[in-house]
Amino acid sequence: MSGMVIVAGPFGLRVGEATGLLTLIEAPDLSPPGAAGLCADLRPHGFDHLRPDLVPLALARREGQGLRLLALAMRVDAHRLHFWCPPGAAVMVDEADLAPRLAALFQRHHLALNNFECNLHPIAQPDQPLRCWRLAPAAVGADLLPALLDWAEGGHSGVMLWPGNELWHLAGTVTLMRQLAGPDLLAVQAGGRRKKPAFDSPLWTVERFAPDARGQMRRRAEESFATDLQGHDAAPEIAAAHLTGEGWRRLGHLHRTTDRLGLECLTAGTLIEMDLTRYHGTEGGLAIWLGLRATASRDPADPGAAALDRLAAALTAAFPGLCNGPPLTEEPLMTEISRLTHPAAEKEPA
Amino acid sequence: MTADPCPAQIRLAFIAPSGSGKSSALDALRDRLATLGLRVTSLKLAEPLYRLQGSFYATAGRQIAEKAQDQVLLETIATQLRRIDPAALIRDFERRLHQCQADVVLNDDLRDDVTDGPRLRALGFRTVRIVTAETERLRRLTGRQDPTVVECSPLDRQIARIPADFVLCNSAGPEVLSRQIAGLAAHLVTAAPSSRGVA
Repeated sequence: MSGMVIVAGPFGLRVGEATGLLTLIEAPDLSPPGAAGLCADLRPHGFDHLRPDLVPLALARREGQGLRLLALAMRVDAHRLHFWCPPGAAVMVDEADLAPRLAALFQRHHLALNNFECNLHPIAQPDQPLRCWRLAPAAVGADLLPALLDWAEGGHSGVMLWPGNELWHLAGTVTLMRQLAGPDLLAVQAGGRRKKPAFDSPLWTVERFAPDARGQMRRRAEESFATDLQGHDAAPEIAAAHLTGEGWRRLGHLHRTTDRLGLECLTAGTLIEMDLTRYHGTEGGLAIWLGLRATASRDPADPGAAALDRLAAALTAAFPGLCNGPPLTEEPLMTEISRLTHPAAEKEPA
Repeated sequence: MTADPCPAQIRLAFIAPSGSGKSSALDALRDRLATLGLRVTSLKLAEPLYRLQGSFYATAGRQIAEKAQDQVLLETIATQLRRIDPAALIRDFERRLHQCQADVVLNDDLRDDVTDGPRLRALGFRTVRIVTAETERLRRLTGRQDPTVVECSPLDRQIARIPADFVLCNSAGPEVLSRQIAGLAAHLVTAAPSSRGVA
């Protein structure tokens, strides 16, 4: 018996309008949440998530004569609830004291609980942990993306699909450049525009790939919000030079498509992006990469590396079964991509 | 057009608005390539314009240094010359190019993206764009003491449309530029056809 209990009551308790009684529903078959939270569908337990007087508000576990609060309701959707445990919220309470204690916790952590899509702690670039694997095109069929979605939704290695950011599709043309005075690679892509009556300036995104101590290519992205590039709509190298302060050699253009899964780690609160990226060379070449990058966390003390490594290990173990193909080969991200622009473009200086 | 007598020659055109440091970058690259044993020369598209500038000043009874730029006059002459024959400058340039036996030919006054630019690319020129912060560029321009100055020329828009193979950032001082120049020189030498002997 897990001793798990669902604490339900009026939604107003979450926002300081504490009225009405709380109801405790035993849920012995409900698994305890991870250290950081749980995404659950409680409709099988008889709940209508959106019934205003009986909203699941918290998960708890009976310990002795009291209750240990394990997670608070952060996001309430018709088909899903996201419970999260803010640091310091896993407290013991008496059942008789539950309503005011729960209301106080919601009040204390209201910024995080009510702003679940934006109250995040970004992991500063270039420290974002990054792992990537090159995929053989033959191993990547149309069913790989659904398989990855199912795998992520299954809660493997303590992650779930990040509610509201489950799936993105990104496409665009990147101009690839090689650093003149070093080994770094740059991918420059046109973005939106900054437009007012007095100016109309293109925005460019510059992604820099530089090797770290482990031989992995770390990625840093920057957008040209603070740089006036008016009139330079067709010159990615100008954006590259202004944003990096360095010289570059143009390698060519690639068309890039990315299917991005947003993942949230339930043991640490880490937010991870899983990218399945295809680079199409102008002469018909194709390179496919699978990447994981920790971008932010709900926990300000979480650097993201541990969660990323756990997920990478789980993905490496599971991948051959997802695509009926060979195991993942970890490889610096841009080794092959630069050769897609032109087979002879990449000659390293003596 | 005659066949190119030096197909293995390294040819670079530096492009940027006035005051960006094209001449400085070109000089630095020339020095670097010379230390690698290459014979380097510079050819200007505007050589006929400078000759005509001299004639104007002589006719006006004034003197002007050989390399000084009366930018208003030079742009006016260029505009009228192109009106008469758009290919006048590039034809003169190509004639002088075919007489040049150097290992490397550098140019720093390409501004036209319609006639001169495409023809230079067809002649094997690769373009090097110099990027400088606008405040720095204007500071250099006013400090150069040219007889006249055009701070924001409409020709700059043409320059922006010329595709670039390399870009150098000249906003951070000579040391940073020097590192970029060294990398560029190393790439040019490594990627050059082996039929040309290099020390």
